[in-house]
Amino acid sequence: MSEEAKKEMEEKSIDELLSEAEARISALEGGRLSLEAAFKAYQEGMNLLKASSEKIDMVEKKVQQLNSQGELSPFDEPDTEGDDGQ
Amino acid sequence: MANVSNIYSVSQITDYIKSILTTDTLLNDINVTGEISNYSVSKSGHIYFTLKDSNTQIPCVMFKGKINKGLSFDPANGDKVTVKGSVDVYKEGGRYQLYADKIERSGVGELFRKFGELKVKLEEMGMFDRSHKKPLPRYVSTLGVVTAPGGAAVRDIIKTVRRHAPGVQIILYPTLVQGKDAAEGIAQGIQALQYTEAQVIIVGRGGGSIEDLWAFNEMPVIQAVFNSEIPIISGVGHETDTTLCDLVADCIASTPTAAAEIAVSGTEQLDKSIREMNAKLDSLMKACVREYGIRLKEDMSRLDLPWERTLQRYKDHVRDDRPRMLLSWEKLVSVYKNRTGNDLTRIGMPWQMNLRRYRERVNKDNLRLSNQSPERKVRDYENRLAHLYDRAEALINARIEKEKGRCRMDHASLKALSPAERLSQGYSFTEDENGVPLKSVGDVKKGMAVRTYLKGGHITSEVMEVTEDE
Repeated sequence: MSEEAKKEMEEKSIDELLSEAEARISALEGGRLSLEAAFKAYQEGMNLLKASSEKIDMVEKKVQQLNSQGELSPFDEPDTEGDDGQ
Repeated sequence: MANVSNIYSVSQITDYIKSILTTDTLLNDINVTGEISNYSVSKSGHIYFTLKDSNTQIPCVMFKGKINKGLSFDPANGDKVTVKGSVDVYKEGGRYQLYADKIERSGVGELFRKFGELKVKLEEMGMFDRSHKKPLPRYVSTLGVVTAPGGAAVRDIIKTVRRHAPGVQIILYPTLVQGKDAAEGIAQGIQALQYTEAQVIIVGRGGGSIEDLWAFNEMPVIQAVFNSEIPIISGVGHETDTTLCDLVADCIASTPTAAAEIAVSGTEQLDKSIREMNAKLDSLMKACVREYGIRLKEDMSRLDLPWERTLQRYKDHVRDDRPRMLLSWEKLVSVYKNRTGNDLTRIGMPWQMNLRRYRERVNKDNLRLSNQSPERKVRDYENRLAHLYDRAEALINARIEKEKGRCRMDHASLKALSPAERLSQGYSFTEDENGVPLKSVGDVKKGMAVRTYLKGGHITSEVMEVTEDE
């Protein structure tokens, strides 16, 4: 993927990216594509999904704490192995 | 000694007292406020306690059958409560007690009243209108949370987000959620989060009584929620608790956990659909490649088939033609043989050479043919084959004609050599009376009768003289 294409994808919303990926899938599903076009659709679809996936980014984040001055600091998490209480 | 008529049994006096108490309208439906002590639950499920104030106390009982409707909290000694019920006599114990229909915490009635009033007021102001509800974004990358930093609510929210969408950044605004400063703190949290990346804010806390949850019914919170530019999910208390914060928020969740699930469900769903689309793309591409593979194989076999067939036809052709050629050759040879009995090998050699050359040519062509691409080549070779065949045919025919000519020639010269032919040129042939040919002058004697053959017949004569050459 070229740099411009990458930048273009970054600017798109995740919904746009996904609907474009869906369009590639529908084209492939239609089964009317030539082998070259099918490869292209596949490649583009994969790039779109990769970009979407990067946007969602399932890497666990640390919880931040906000104070009334609008300052952020790391939050010292309580033990999350508890159950309902107050 | 007292008058006998003034003496009553214990039962009689107790019944009398009971009748007085139970016929009193005030005592039959009364609200008594006090503090709980000696609280206990019997094996049969009835509740016993003593209601007291600074100076006095009254025993109370709430039967099991009343608990469901009349008691909405877990009472403890020291709780200030209002008991609604009736005063009656417990004959067996010889004492009067308060039979409770309903037990409420003191002051709760006041809170409920305030809640009701505020709700009506806010409803009239249109603050609960659907038109003010902001839709939740499908995809959340940053989630704001306003709650107590040490409570179960924050734990539940973090746990839930981590499980469903670990990539979502949580920004927590820690605040009190109970007590007189809570409402102000919650409102500040909502305002502070407006300036962050948060796309959704959860306002919440765990379950509790109406007093515990009261901060979420106060105006600062309600206004902050209403004014928030960022959609707010209210996750206050347990399933049954409703606060005004719930009603004014963009989305109500029954618990903080549910609020977190709602907030990140879209993100989780997106992640899932990305993975699904990924798998779909993969399988579609594989299917596509597979299909092309099959088509390719089909095309190839379709290409192979006519080619092989042509090659076979070509081979058959050659095989069929050989006997035909040999046949005509044999015919020619037999003609030649019959006519002349001449040297066969001389004639056979070039023909066999031709045949070999022809065969080599065929083999070579065959090889070249199989090295090259189908259809057109096949046609070319077919043409060439036909051409070769024609040439071979022409050659053989020419040969036959030539040989026939030679046969004729030989025949003529043969004829020229015959004795009869000589006679026509003036030569003669002589034999004795017995038909023995006379080959030299020595065979002849004077007076001998001889027969001489000339053209057209013979003569018989007598030898008159014999002269030998010198």
